[in-house]
Amino acid sequence: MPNDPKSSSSSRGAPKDFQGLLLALQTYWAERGCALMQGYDLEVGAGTMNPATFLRVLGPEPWNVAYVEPSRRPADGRFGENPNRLHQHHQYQVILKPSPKNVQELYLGSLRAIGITADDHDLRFVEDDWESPTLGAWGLGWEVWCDGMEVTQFTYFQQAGGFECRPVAAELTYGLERIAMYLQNKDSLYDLVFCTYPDGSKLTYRDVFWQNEREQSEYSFHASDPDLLFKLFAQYEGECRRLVEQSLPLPAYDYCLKCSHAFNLLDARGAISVTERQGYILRVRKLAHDCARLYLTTRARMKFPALQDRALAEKELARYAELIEEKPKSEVV
Amino acid sequence: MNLVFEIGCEELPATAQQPAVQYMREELGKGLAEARLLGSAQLKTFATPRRLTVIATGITERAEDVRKKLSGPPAKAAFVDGKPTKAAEGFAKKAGVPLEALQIEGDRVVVEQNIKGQSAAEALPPLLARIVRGIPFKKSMRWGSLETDAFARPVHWIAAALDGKPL
Repeated sequence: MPNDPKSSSSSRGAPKDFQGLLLALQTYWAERGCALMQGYDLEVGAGTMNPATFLRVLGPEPWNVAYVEPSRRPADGRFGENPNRLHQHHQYQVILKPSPKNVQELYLGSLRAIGITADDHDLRFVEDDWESPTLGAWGLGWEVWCDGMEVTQFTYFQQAGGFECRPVAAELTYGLERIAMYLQNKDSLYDLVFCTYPDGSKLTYRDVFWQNEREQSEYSFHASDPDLLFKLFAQYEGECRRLVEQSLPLPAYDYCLKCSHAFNLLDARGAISVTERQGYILRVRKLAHDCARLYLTTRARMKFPALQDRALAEKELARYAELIEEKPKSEVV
Repeated sequence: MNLVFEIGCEELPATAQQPAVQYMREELGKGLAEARLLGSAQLKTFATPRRLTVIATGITERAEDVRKKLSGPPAKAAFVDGKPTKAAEGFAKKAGVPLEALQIEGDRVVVEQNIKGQSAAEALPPLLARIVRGIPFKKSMRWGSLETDAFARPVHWIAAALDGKPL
């Protein structure tokens, strides 16, 4: 379980490259009791959409994880020409469930671990309440500002998939590129040093990502096939529903994510009118709700195995009794 | 007596701070007045993003006892043929007095109550607990594993000291 903010890795100089930044955060949170997950292997727009967040914040079972999430936002692509905006950026995502009393201290300790201390920088918790209409999720919390620049979204989850989160999970989402630009004192994302090789030569962000930025932007805005994407959206939606009927929340949620990304591509392409937009968002939201509901049901049917306190498990089963009693449309044998 | 009442929490939205301390001050004033402890006490508020504070100086230590006249059912309903009815019994029970204490004034039954004055040390804890839970926020949140409590941001401590002694 996450414990002391002060320990071996917590007071170092700033990491010199992007890779060092990732390693520093991974080490810090692993040392504080987080299991290191991986970014999901499907297109997602944020670390929150990874099932390691969206599904696991539901229900009473504890969960402490940290991971890097490559986050695709087709509408944000700028062909590799804008020094501050990307089709795909990287978030560092931390989930602490239940939210610990000292979560703010733990977070500030993580900033010290990457060389940002309150002694040298103006750190502020500025009111910002996060919401995702497509996921039916919302929470209260802050943008954390470092010298006036937002570096992290800090949220206490209240609801996900339309369900109350009990207990509440704390979510920390760091904007890695932005933090790296600040630490490396660069004016352009593409000048960031991704890593330094043993012989001293450097791999830049441009070396790794510029071609992807150019081509993905071209694809999102000009080259995608809206007819295909509309067909795919409908097929993914149908398949998600079918898998929900089959009581398979995890495969079903994969299809919900595919729907969401198809929508993002259609939206960036300009293929969805202002009047249709809300309808599509509600369709994805419905899928997310159904997957969330089914996930809760399956965990409850398993009697919330991750809850060590079995007396508490009994109480929680009573809370979700209605969900458990509903007969699934077909059982997986 | 002097009271320091403070709630310590995580960073509150900027717009939530003043309304919260004003609510605390008003409710504290009302509650003290109801308990006859307000007197000429002065209430001051202080607010920071992480602390909501009310300081009250000159609170009465113990309220005086008062005699209060409580008005009850019509005399005709309370006494039939000189005998007390269920209405009379119910009223006596509610007033916490024996039946013999009931008097008739005009056309109603009345009773005189002796209401003991509370001390500030007795009256404040339930009043302060009610105030903490009652602060109206535009948006409230839960945190950790707490079941029912909600506040604008997680609360870390509540301090209440009367003349320097914790309540």
